[in-house]
Amino acid sequence: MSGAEIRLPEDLWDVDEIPEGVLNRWMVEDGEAVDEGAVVAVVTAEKTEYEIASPTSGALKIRVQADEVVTPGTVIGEVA
Amino acid sequence: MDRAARALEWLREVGSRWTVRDETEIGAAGRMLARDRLHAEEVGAGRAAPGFRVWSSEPALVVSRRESRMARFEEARAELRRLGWPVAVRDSGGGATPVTPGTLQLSLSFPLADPGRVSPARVYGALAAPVRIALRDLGVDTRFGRVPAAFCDGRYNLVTAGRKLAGTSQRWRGGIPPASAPDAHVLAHLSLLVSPDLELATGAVNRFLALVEDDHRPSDPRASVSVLERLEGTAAATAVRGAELALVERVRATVVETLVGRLGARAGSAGSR
Repeated sequence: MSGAEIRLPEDLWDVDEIPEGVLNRWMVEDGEAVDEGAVVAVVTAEKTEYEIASPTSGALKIRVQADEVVTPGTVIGEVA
Repeated sequence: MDRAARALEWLREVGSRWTVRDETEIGAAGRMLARDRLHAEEVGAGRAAPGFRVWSSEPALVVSRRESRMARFEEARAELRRLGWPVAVRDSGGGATPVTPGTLQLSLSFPLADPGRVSPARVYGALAAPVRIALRDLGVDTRFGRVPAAFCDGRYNLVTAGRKLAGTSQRWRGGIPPASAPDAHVLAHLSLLVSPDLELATGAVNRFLALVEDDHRPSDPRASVSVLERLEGTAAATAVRGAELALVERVRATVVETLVGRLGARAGSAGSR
């Protein structure tokens, strides 16, 4: 069964101003159960930290590891 | 309408009712940051109106959560405390930043109800607007920009004459709608160097980072500038000579007046000296 993607909003920041960000940390382990609306990760770009919440309840599958580069639109994980 | 004024106008689009809380107590940085966090949570939950807090604190090094998780953080914290710089952790991003009674802190909190209207650039613009207007009144012009040799560098420093005058950071808490908690909100911080001792302050940052990072490159105190130094030789600087905190008070008062006058913020104060 495919899950719901945890995707950074496409307009989260202007890539012309800030080319990239970093997945700062996961708040939950891979495979762990998460609730809808719970904060699961923190993304950092240019001294702005974005708490990213799960769009649904289920088990987390991490796709982007901590300290990896991300941009708006990146799918960092999914919840199934 | 200039950029700073436009930035405040944008806040009116975000919300119609704003407050500014002038925290007159110079408290420990950890306690002042806890008040920021609590206010932001109240704003996110709809129990308090969105707004600004204006405050100063006793000397401290304010670090990010990321830095607080570094392997040698506790050792560095103990050493900095021994040197007279207790370490406090803030929620917003960025890096180690010194605060003293000679720095002025501004925080901004509002609910993140309509993320399509909000961008980090707009938040930084609105956060810095009352400070830029207050500084312009003193004859100090500012722009946003990086200063690579300064501590806690970033694209959205306030810069004057090529040197860092203020740093900014923010945190979007609770997720980003529609994938968010119902109390999602933005908390942004600005730290203005009004009259701190920049040699001591930068030295504290460098000492901390040398302890927690393997490859720390020291920041240059001359890459930063204080409002007092910038005013050197002017009547404004002469008026506060020997009473540098008076300049902090003057800037603070103008910031609060600007928010009341131009944003229609309802003013409140807390604490006493």
